[in-house]
Amino acid sequence: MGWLKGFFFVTISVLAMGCASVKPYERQFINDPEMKMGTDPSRGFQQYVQSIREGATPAGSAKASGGCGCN
Amino acid sequence: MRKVYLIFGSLLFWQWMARAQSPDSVVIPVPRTTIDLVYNNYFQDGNHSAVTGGIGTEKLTVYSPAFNVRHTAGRSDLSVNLGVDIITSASTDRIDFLRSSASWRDQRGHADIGYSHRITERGLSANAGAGFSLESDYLSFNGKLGVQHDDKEKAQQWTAQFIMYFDDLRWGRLSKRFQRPVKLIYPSELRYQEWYSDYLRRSFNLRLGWNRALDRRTVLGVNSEITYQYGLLATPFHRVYFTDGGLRPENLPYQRWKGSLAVKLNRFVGGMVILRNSITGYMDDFGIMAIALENETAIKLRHDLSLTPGARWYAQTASPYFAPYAQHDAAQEFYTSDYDLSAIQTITASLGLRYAPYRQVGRRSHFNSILIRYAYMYRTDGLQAHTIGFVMQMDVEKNR
Repeated sequence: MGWLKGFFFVTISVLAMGCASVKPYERQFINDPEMKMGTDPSRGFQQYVQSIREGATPAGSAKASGGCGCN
Repeated sequence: MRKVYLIFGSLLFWQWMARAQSPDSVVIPVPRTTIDLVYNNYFQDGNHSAVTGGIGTEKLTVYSPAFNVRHTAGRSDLSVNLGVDIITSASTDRIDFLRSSASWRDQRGHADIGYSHRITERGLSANAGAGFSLESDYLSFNGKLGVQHDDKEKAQQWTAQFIMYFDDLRWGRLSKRFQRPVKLIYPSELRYQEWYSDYLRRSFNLRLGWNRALDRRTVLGVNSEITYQYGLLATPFHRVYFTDGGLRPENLPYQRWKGSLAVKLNRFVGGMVILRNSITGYMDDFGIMAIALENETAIKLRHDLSLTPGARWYAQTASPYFAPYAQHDAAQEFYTSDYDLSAIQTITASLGLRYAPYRQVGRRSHFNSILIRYAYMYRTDGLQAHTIGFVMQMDVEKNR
């Protein structure tokens, strides 16, 4: 349980941090395709496999549809 | 003195002009269709198959081609995803010990359609979607509703999505003999009675997400998800052996709550390295608690070529319903020997190569990118898996 409390403490701390305003002309780094938060279809498939072979379903993970995953 | 007034007045005028530009002005993009050709290949092997009670081969191969199309026009965005999985499973072959083939072949077809529309100039969008997945022992329908808000500067995004899955676990739809749902499939020696009172599984997911640019090189994302499932959550053809020599199909509670929180931090370091880090926590009322740490580093070898090594560590506690082969007490109400619910850790190493030239081919088409990724996963119970992925993306743009 200790690590879970630690995890939530870190999360809340990060959320509480101040955020600087980023001007449109300063966005060349955060607009880079490699900086995107979403997943490509290859990583989506990997996350789908992980959600089956592991007991947990990660938040926001890609799941194309239902499916048994029972093999 | 007049010169000073003139300069001061000019500055005020230009400042006013700059503000007079509507902050809500929106650039309407050129209608564009993006096409993804996707192919994934998955191999696994282990020795803890749930079909044979926690022992025996878990050899499995999945060939998974898919095709995604997304069309953007004005304020609207329409996407269609189609895919097929061809599954060769040695363990599923053991549902019926009389089956003589070395491995059993199954297919899964899935299709999803999604639509999103920007409602206001202030960045609010609504989206909806539906889809299905069909395999011999499983039919799943899903429906989605969501909203998204991007702030004026595109520095912050909120998302909320509600997803429902309605699954039918009866076998027979892909059988030439039946072509309709017939019954739940139990292990061959346990077909003398019906073991479950339900054959449907319903899932309701609520996803909330928040992304924010912290500074000019850092983006933070927080995602949370709550899931409620009820109905048949056990797999009918998973065997469980008991200490007294008895045998029954797996039995799990008829409802399950899951909660998960993920924090992602992407940071551009120097001019050519992007660190993508994430930490995910999870817990459910089956008694599983889990944590995952992941890093993927994109190294830009050239402006259009990136190498992406990655590593992930995952650990979970066991569900109290789990016990290995022949270690369950016959008095237990719920029981499974599925190692997916045991105390495990997994370690995944991956390597991707992405070539993204965005090169024009033809008058209106662009070759966006090609991505190849390999991932190796080791699970501490001995299961090993390899995934090879391939994605090619094209754009077709309509002339203005």
